[in-house]
Amino acid sequence: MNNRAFFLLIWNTVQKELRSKSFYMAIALTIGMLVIGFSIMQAFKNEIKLENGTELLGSGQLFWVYYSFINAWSIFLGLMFGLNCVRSDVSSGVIGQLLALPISRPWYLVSRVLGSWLLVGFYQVISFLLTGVFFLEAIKQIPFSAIALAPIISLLPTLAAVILGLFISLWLGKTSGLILTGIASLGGSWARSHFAQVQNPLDNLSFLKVVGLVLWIVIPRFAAPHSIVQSFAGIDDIQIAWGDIAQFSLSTALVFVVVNLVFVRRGY
Amino acid sequence: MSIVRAESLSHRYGSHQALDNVSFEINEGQCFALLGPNGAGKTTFVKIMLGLQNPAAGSLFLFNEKAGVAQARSQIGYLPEKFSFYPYYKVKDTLEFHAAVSGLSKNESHSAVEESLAKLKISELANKKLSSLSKGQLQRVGIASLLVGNKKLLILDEPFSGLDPIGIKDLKELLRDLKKSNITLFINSHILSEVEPLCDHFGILNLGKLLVVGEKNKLLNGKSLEDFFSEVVQ
Repeated sequence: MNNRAFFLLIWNTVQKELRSKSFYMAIALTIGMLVIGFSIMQAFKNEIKLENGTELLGSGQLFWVYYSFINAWSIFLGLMFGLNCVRSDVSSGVIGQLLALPISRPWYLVSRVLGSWLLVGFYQVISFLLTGVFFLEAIKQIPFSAIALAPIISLLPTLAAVILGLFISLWLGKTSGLILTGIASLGGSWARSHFAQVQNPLDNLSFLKVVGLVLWIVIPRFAAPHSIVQSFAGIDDIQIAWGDIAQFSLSTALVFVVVNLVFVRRGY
Repeated sequence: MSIVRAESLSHRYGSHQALDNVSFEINEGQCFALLGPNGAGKTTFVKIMLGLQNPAAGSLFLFNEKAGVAQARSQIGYLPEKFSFYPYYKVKDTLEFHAAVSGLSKNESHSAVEESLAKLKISELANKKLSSLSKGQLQRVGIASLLVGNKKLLILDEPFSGLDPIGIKDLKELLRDLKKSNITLFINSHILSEVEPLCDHFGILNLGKLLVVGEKNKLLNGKSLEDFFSEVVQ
């Protein structure tokens, strides 16, 4: 497939979402949540002080609360776009016509993933710019390297979320896919906290434990790359979680390979 | 030169045998009609040609390459029974998308799109969105999409469906012109009366089996295609 066709397919992915109301709803929600959240937190910050008069929540801490929120929201959006990017072509019946053109299936998948990633990146840019305006003073106290790394590192978990969404969309619709991913993520999070404290994860295996182990191994640990930013920011007790980052990278790559293998063999 | 070659092609959906050991060959410049009642396996055959479905057994070659290889598809134009694309695309954007994917440069695309619009007599629709077009207009856009890029094999699935009498007449003329320029045509159709004057070869599929295949004049031997078809299928 030539470059022009590849970029057209990426742009086509963006165009599809630009037509949907949920794209604009998500923008309104993103800005609304950030602004309302900031106002509430400001009120909370000014009202609640310790006995000696110092604020319970400093601007720096609020900044990191925002950082976590933006990343969690971006993962949700990544999953949404990932769930829709190929499925909408299947449900509209366009996929047969597209794949009858000289478009290779792996490149089609890559273009859909990149297009969706671009869209989530757009939300992230808006969110980080707003956060930058809100926490201008706090940001000045954070090392520049961490500030520069934060938006770049945040793009990695969203890429994984898009790929995971695409994987689920091969079998499930948007709503059921989101519900299942939510349950799986909660399970993964529980498994992570459980197995982090366990010396030998393979002891006393039960059905639930096996499910937890599978989730722990297979679902990308979305939060892992953020440890790089937090480490650069000099937050106490935070070290780069290389093990989790390796799991994140490998599991994301593995999910994409499986998506590709299934998609290439599937009849339309 | 062999353009399409099916070798012992078989496919099944669950317990339903869609294609059963189908073998035949289409050479360059031929107009081949694949005929058969509903559920005969025609659509499955087209899907395998386009690489949308992998056969359970046997092989299908296009331009001597295995069907499904993107390179082989670059020489193929496909018109589905109901042409549909993104409804918010304008007609010219749809055709330019097809041109770009077929490997034409930006400048080549513009002229190819204008030419195909003029050939189909739909230049005035260029800036209209697909969602605003009638079924017949949409079908003409689909046909126009076949003309952008250098296609050597056109696969037409029920091409006359949805067209008004003038549209059918225009399409027949266009297909005759394409035949003259040595483009191979593969037509999948129920409308025997429209196909008969166009095709020079045909095959009849029923319940996945290829009942007859060959040159039209030799097979018909003076009979009409309709009578011959009824005889063979019943």
